[in-house]
Amino acid sequence: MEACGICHTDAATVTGTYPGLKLPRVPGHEVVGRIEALGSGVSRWKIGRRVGVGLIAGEDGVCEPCRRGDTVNCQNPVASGVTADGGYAEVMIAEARALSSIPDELTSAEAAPLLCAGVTTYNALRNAGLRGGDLVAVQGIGGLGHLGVQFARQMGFHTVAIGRGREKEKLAKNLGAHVYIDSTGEDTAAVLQRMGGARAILATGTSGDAMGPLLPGLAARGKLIIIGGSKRRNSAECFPACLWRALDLRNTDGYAD
Amino acid sequence: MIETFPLEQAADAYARMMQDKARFRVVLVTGQ
Repeated sequence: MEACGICHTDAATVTGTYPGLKLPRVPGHEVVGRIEALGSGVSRWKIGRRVGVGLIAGEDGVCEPCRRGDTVNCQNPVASGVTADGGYAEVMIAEARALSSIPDELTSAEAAPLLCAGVTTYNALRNAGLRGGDLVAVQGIGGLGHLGVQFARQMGFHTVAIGRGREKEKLAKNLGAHVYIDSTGEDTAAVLQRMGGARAILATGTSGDAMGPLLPGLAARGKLIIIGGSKRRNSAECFPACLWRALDLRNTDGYAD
Repeated sequence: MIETFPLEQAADAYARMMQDKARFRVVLVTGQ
């Protein structure tokens, strides 16, 4: 192990609240290291190669989502730091199918958070059916949001950062935000609507209280993408029920598509 | 944007994340 990011999901292992968790268990699912040894039958990887391991580190292949080819939503996955020991360690064992190559351009420490926080924000934007030039807002400039702003800008979206206060405005703009909204001093939804309405809002600091006021800021057929949990009641109730499911919640437009 | 801590300080690094002090991702590293 060369680097392992610390993710809030690790708390479910540390506190023993993960469903079905058996202790002792080493947390850590944003892991970058070099292959020191290979299991028998592994032919695609070489010793010394720098690789990464994320949270989903294997699928059962027999559950309903797997049988539909949707292995990332496996209902019984191998999960680093949950069903198998993770990266808060000098060495860890991972299945070959869990590995990603790490490009030389990234240091191990820089690459590590991309294995969870990075893919979470990146895929949320990449798979949202958005087009270049769309108005996309990122709510919360923290561990996920600071990545979301960068991805949104680099994907060609007109990028809005939404934070509480002005403290992170300069940072958000340096990361690529075209516009910054202070949700404590401005009517976030009204500002978004003046710009035409958001095609998507990536909600990272999510509680029901923070989420509700964002909804009127969406354009028709806009999407609120929830990728962050919080300790507050609304989302705590959601965890773990919403885990491993990639839910798509919509309201109706009254007409069939 | 990351902050690095040696693996030996994993507990302190984890506490920093839990207290919402991380700017913005805390990363444990070895070999430094």
